[in-house]
Amino acid sequence: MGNYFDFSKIPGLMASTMQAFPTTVKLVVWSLIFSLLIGLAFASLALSGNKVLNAVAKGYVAFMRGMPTLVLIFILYFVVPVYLKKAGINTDSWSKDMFIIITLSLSSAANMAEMMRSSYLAVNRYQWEAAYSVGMTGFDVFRRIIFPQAFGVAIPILGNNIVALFKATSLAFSIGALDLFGKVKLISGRLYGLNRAELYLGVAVIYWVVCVLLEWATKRAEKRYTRGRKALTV
Amino acid sequence: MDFKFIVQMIPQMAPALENTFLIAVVSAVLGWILGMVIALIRTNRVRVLARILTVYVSFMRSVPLIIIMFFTYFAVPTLIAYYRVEHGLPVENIAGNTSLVCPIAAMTLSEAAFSSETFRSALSAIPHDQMEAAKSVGMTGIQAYFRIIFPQAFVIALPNMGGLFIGLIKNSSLAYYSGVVEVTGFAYTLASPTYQFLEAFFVIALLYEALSFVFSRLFRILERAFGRYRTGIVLQ
Repeated sequence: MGNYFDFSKIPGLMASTMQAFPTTVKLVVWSLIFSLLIGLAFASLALSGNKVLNAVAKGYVAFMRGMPTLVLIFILYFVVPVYLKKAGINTDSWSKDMFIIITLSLSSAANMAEMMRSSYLAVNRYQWEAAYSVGMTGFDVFRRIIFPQAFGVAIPILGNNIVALFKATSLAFSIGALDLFGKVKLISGRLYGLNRAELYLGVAVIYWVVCVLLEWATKRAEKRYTRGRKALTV
Repeated sequence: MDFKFIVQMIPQMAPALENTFLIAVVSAVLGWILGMVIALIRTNRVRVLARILTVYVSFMRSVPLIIIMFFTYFAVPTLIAYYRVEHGLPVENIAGNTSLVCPIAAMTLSEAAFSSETFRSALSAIPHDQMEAAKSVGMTGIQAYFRIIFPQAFVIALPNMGGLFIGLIKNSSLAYYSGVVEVTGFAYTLASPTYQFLEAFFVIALLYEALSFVFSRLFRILERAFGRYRTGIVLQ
């Protein structure tokens, strides 16, 4: 690589990039909260037993599966505000981060809904009957019997979804939000494109480390949570 | 909504659609071949290579595709230019390359990592006895792979490959940042002068939905067609 790829520049560039880490974390956390809530709504629709509601939930999941995140960002950032304005809602004061959070919440909600639906169905339905037979009632059964088991099934999927969400925040730069990658673009502009390779490699390493940590934490959480539960899920 | 705009937009979209397809298909073919090679090296635990590839797969799966794409589009040409300047070679036509090479390279490298995981789990689903049985009737390792292992592993991997391909079509939208006019880039450029984002994005959103629908159907048909090879596996 000679003298045009300077490894000694990487730590400094990574440090400047890391200034945007709180923004990325903010995007992930808010999108996670909202996507779980929206996902819960769609999962309940899918499990409601009503054909129409089920179709609505399925349609939403299929729609999000087919939609590139970048296109969704563009639609929500460029198209929707025009119509919100017509409806009397002014979005001029909304920050770019907010649009990214809305986009990622909507797209991740599909994955979350699928996660909740499949883990709920993974719990044997005889568990309901067994719980009823010992005198438990509706929500109690869900809270004390079904949910704890379904949650164990969901942990690895949730981990995957969080990793995907974290990676998806890298598209925030497309509308000029300053997440990790937005910051990289900013630095790159200030350096007039110098040391680009080092800069990109640095941010790639940041993403790598965080993803590996998230995966490790997921595995640990799953192991902890499902310890001694094996007998139940069989 | 301006329907005139839509009517004018659709016929112009052909080259952009072609680019989207080319990017997705070429990176699928190259990425899956590479992914298969990675999977084979890792399942057979080839000494140093397997270790290196484990790191490679972990890295590529963790880093957002857009960063890999920026690397192949901005950083690599810069490095090449430095190299060429140093050796007194001409440097024209290196930066601002709008060919499909950069996005396809990025997507192939990342697809190789993602698909290798699919292929690895498919390969590990075939019991090792099959390899031994094939060898006991005189097949070589390569024959055993191509006649016994691959056909069965392929059937197992097929549903995931469908998902991967749809992912590629969606991810090809990022090629817009590599100066390639694919569907998303086309819509954005066409809509910008008159701010007709609604019409432009409405059309391409429908297009992406249609593509993902068609290809998920297509892969389901393939699954059904190849499903008959599956019976042998379940019995074990």
